[in-house]
Amino acid sequence: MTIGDAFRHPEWVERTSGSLPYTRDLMPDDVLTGRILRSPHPAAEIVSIDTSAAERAAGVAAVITARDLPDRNYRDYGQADRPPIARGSVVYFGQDVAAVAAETPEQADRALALIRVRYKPHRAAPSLAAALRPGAPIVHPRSRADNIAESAVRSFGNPEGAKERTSDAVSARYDCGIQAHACMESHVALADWDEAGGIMNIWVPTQSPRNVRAEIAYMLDLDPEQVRLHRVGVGGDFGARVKISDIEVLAATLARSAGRPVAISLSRADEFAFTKRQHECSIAMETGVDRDGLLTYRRAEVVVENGAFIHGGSNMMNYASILIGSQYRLEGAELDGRSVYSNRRPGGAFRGAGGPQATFAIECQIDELADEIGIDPIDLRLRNVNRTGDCTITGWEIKSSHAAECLETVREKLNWDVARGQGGNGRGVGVALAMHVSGAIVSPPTGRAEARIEIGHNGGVVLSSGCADPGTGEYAVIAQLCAAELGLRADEIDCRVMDTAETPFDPGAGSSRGTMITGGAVQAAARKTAAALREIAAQTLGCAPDDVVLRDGFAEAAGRRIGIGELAAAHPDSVGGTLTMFCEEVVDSPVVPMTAADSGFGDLSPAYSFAAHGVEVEVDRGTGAVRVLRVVAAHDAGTVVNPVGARSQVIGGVVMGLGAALGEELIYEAGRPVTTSYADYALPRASEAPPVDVVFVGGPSPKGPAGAKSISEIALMPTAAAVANAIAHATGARIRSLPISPDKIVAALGEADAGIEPQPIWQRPSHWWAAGVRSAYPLGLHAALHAWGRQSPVPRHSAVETIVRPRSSDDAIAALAADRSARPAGGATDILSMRDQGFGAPPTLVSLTACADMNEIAEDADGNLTIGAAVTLADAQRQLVRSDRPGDMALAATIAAIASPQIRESGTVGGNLCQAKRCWFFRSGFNCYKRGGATRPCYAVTGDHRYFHAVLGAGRCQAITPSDLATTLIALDATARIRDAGGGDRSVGLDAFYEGPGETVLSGGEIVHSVVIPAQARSRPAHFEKLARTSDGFAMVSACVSVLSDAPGAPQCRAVLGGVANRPYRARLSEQAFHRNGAADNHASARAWVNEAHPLPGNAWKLKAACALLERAMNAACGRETETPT
Amino acid sequence: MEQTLEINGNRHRLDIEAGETLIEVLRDRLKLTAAKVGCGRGECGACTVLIGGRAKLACVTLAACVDDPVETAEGLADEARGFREAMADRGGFQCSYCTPGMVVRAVSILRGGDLSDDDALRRDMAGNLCRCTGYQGIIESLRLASQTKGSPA
Repeated sequence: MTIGDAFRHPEWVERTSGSLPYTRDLMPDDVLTGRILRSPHPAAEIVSIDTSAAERAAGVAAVITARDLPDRNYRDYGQADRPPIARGSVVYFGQDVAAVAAETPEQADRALALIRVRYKPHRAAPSLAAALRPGAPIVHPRSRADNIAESAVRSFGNPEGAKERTSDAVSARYDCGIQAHACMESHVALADWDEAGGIMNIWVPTQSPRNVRAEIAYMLDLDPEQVRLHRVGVGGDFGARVKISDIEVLAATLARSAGRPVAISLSRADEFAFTKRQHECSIAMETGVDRDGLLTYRRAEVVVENGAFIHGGSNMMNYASILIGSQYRLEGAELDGRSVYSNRRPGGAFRGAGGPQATFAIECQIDELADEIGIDPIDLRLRNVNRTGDCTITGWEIKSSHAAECLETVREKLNWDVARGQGGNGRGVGVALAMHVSGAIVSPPTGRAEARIEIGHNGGVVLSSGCADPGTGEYAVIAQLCAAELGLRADEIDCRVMDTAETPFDPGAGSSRGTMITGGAVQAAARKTAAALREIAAQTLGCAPDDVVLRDGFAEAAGRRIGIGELAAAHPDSVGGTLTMFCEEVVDSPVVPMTAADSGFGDLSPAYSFAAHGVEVEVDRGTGAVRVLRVVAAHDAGTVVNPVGARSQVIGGVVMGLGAALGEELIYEAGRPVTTSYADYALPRASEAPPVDVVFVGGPSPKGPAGAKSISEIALMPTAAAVANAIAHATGARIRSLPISPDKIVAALGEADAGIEPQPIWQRPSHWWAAGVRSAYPLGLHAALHAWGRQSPVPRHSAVETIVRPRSSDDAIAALAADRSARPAGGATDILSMRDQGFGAPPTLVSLTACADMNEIAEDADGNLTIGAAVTLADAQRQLVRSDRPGDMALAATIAAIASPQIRESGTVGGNLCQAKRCWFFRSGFNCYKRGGATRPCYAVTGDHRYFHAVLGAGRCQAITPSDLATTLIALDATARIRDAGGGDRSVGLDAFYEGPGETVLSGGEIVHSVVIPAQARSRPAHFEKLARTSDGFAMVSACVSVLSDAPGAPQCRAVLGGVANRPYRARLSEQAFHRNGAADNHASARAWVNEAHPLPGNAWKLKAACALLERAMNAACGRETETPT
Repeated sequence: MEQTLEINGNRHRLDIEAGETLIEVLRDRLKLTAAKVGCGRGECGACTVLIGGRAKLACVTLAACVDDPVETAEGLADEARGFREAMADRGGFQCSYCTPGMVVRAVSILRGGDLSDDDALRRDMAGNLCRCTGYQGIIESLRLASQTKGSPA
């Protein structure tokens, strides 16, 4: 096997069959559940903690607080400002205050509730802006009064001279939102203290086992050798677990205290809320250019929000700053950076460590500069790109650069010159370049790794490396590098990895060093082994060592061959027939500390990778939705060791970059996380991911094993800027804030679509009351209600105790009547979600899915269609798509846009109609009006309400009814047949079915039996449109129009909007306008309802999106084309 | 409540609690750990299993309401052999935590679906989140597996 051959990952069988063990798959039978008590305040003094009741509670084996842990901070690569648990004060919402271990999860939760903590809350600075405001409270004692954790002022080259020859300059600020790592395996730690052996056994997913081990040992006062991290599957890292999290030491301390294994396993909501995240970053930047289109200088101020501890924030600030001075040939640069404390959960290392943010700023600004001076963006880049042999003003030695080829590849593959000439019509192309280290050598350990190779007498080869493979494909890379030297197939190498007791030192993955540093050590060890084998083979075969060829497990020369096992056994160093070769490899590269106190000048990495990404986008000017049609990703990664893994890394990086570009964003309300689910965090789904054309250009790098450079982080870096540049090309709008969500696009294009706004409030007395309440919110009402209801709602732990599964609706009614605590259930998918969200569960569930009379789809003699409420969405869709009636087809299209295929297989028609509101404050544990009662605030009024809150009809609660089915069924004049407790029937039109957001007219004991769609409505032309953040997401806006008649003289339609009001909204003013205007002026008719709206400040954009969708639905239902606004 | 669940062709007589989910039964009681818990709320697809041949989410399925036979990644490994090999050849997995759920979903698509349209395939796979691969290797693997379907593994 040679380098560059496609090779299946060594664990491919286990990884695709599900037999690769992850930590949660390894729980011993006697494991205790560890749970964490977290701070309910963003900033407070801890007056007292009383754990006595918890310690006495049933099933509790251990309770720990700060008194059980040493008064010291994690080392965190020298930043050392983070304690293992809150001591004396809490500095962010969710900070660990105490932890318990108990026999069952329920007992652990009960014990947490028994811990009495008295807090004295004080003023917090829960955002970057708040932390930098004059007079802001001090977050961390280490910072000065201005909350600056670290600052750096750097100057490279000759900025003054560069400014003198500058003819044009562009200046702007670029803001990057906060991404979550969102690894599919959430954080988990299993710890088991071996008292007799004095060994703390740990199972934890991480890409840096040595680093985690060192921190655990430090906190537990153990020698590193006394802590053993075992080999486990690692379900993603991306920086999330490169440094120790908070749970490992807590699990280990609980385990030592309890004398039993303890596991702390975070739920997905906790993962989003309480683990590391990306840092918020804002970069103000100016770039100058001379008359020849050569860049002159760059000036930048990089501001990074750490959260309550630095935790990588300063590293990110330093790397982003220095990258800004390195990318492209510059004469001078002035780069200031600040990392800032705030009262939020600290950020942490995130794929690229500031590279993605710096690249977003650099690459947007290059396009803006090209626009300013009238040069094609690729041409401007080509004039200034770093080339082989360059040394940047920051001291980076560019030993190989194929950046220009990357750009030329994008130009060719995107048909750039043609596409670029056609911009501005909603379609556009954009490009961005990136450069990145292959391992930042910032300290001696980051440039050093060890590897060990053992060859047995039978010829078996064991390769030991302390690395871990969180999906980077590192096991494949090291197997391949080893096999290539020894003349074997990579699948003949037995890789021993990760386990700190069995493997030699490895620094772990980070700053894209896996192939360079770990791979370098493996290749060196394999070369040493191969040389030893050749040497001894040469003696036996009577030739020079250089004449010996290692192939297929044999040493060959002069037509004779000897098995490598035989050679190993014959080697003078072999022990018991096994030859062991150990190698410590230190990369031949200087150490460049890159701290805030350091100049930052120096050759930071042994090699620099380059990449250009080109994207083609389609922008919906009406709704702000962006569709990425395709991506070309051209990479100079040096030699590609394993093309399977390398290509997958690039595509994965591109899609993660698209998430950052278009939707992914953690949102906070006063320091408290709001987006705590995949439903609210717009991680791209398969349906959003475009085809990516990956092209590797260039050749071997002078440094790096087999000439390989890095791939994993640079794969993410240029994507967001390429998207922003393509959007600018498509629309003319330059958006400098990530993610580029629909609201930002609609706002940026606002002037073109003026006229969609309601009349001023003073002309609309019916809205005065709501407007008055809303205006009081920022003036103290919110603060007062929030203070009153500050305590989080106590999670309800009521369990489902009984499930009744009636076979008919009669039996169901009877079962509900017999037990007042009983509640009906369809697929029960949301009941179980809400149980997980702390709402508790009904003690008795009456599952309707087996009710035969509710499981039918039937057409009566008149053509009316009855769909049983217990029919699954998938079954309804399967039946409806076979119909040729337009109403049925619109309903099928509606169902296809609801949730995921799997949810549609379980979720029922009745369940969809009756589901509770999806407001992210309500669902993520805020003690809001609907959760805690009338004395609580609606957090949406002043919080982030851009997507899922009402622009119309809201009262105290701003939530909307989430059912898409309702939108369409109302347009189809459908009725719900409701069965009541007495066994009676009543029919309610779907337009009268809702009383509030996700709240129906059903009273206790009643169920929806079926929905009935009249024959006439089924035959009417109808069309459904939806705007969601992901294909399985809830509607931000939806529209359905059913046309009764478009005949001249008597045109008539039903026009219904979802997502805009607390209830599905029948846009009667639009229906009346349609009646007046006929189908000829749907543009005006679709806007006729707007004066009824009363949007919140952040969701007025939805008026425009709703008008666009309604117009489209009207046109489609009338068989007309919708003109694309330009 | 005493209940019989058929899982991968084996019948298990179990005392199921009313609130117990299928994923708890599979992982905690039967030690069938291929199906993963990624979110616990029906949002990520890592726990996808087939129930009566339909791809559903074990984390939001009450075990007491399961009547039909259940198939998990363990039971589908042989049937999915072609898809799994394609995943290894096309870079369809990285950290692999989502992979068993992907494999189960892929089997349900390969058994019945129309694989002519990549956009449709992407929509069909939209309930299975992957943070690593960008999905392309998975979509390519579906296509490859459908082409080799029927030929000996």
